[in-house]
Amino acid sequence: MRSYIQLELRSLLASRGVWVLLLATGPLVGFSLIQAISLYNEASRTALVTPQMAAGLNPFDGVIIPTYGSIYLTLTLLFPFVAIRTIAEDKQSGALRLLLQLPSQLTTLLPSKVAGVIFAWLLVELPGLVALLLWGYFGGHLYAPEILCLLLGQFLYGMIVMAICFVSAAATDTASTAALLALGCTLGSWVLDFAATGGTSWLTKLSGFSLTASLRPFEQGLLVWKVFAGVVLAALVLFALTLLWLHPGRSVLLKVCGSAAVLIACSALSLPLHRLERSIDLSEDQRNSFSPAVRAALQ
Amino acid sequence: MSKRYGDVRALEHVGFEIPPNSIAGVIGPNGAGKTTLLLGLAGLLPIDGGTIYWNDRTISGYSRSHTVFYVEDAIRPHALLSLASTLGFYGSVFQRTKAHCDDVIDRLRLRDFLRSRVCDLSKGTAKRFLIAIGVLSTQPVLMLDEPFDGLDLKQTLELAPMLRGISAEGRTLLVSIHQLRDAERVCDRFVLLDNGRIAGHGTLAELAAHAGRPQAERLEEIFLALT
Repeated sequence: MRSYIQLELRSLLASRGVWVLLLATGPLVGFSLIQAISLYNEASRTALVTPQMAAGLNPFDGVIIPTYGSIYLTLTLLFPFVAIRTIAEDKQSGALRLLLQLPSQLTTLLPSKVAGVIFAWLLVELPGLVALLLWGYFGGHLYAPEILCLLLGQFLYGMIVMAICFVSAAATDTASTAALLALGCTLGSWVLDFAATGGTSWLTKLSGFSLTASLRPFEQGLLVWKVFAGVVLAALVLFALTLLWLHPGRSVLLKVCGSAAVLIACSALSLPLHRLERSIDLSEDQRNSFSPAVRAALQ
Repeated sequence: MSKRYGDVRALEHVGFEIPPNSIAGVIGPNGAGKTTLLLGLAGLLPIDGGTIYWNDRTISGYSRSHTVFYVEDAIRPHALLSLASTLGFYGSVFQRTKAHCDDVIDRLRLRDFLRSRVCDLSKGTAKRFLIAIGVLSTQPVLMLDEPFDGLDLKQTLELAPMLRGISAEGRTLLVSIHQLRDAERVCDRFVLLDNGRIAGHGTLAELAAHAGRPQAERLEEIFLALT
């Protein structure tokens, strides 16, 4: 496993894609941080005049979330290319056929690829962490549970995007086709979420299943177990589909039947998820919960 | 083994036997089905029908990688990595000792290229690099697609005894070759493929007898008589 991960990391660092990703993310995050601080500063000035407004201001919503919005953009638009490359490159160069004949095969190959892409995700998150450090260094307020909740959401979003990219790369012959398919999902989901704002009720309902919607509770400092489990299950299902479609020695019929079995299993497993109603409010001001007075009255 | 690509018949009831520790050459013109045969044997291509046996036991597609290792022709795996990294990886996965890896590198004259990236290698060096990966593998059957393609005469003459050495160490080799002279140089047995069908298989003498030309000494003559 160690050799596989080393190979993946070397391959990832040798490619230009990951450096382009880092170069694009850094300035984008920096610009977002400056813009967010500037806007927050203006809003804070107004709050000095009307103290009621100050109650509605918090740096997590005003600075951190807009800054991490740029990382969300990178994860949606650029990160898929790096994730697709890890499989598509091996397919096109002939490396995959060699790797599939090694003693440990897919059970080691896929986790090592996941580890490689998680490393790329960490690189994407690096400018965000630098922004947090800068914000904290210059006296900005940070509340660790909220930040960790946001980072968990970003990680889950990265995982689901990676899983979509892996399936796309496994099921298609070329990197460009895989990119079209994966971006169709990530961008489509983004557009759906955007269009649902003020749209018809069915569009709003549909947007609840978008990838962006899965990230939203985490951005509000809310750890919803149903969303967490749903995203993990979806990623695992997509990884299972990748395992099925990656091996060129399997017939299309076998792959289709296997995919149907995986999707049926996923449906069965997702049923108990609806019962998971619990969530943890990790926001500093407990804005997702009833106030203590209301809670006491309800009890 | 049988395989069709849509309406095109790539392999039709192709069957043959190879004794252990021998070097068998799959011979045939371009499009005869050599690569399809090797991919099917390696379990890297779904076949329409057929069974593959090893030591009288059926080997399924999933377990085939424990028995067979196939190195394709004209591929550049891990193109951005150095030869040292790539060969180091395969050596470690196959649990080869450093001494063994060094020996393979020296025998294939790859030492001067260890720092080069795979994508920067010349055709001949890339071929020797692919052969090195095959040699590092530990499966009892090693299949090489066109191992002499891209090599000059001197390199070809050096590779032939090396392949014989691998066979003598207890591995069975199946190599696809379209140059009949190269095949004669290295192979003990031959599988003649023509248009997806077996035109004959066996030793040179057996093929000559099968072709009705027992006096024939050259593979070329036998091949032309059988196809």
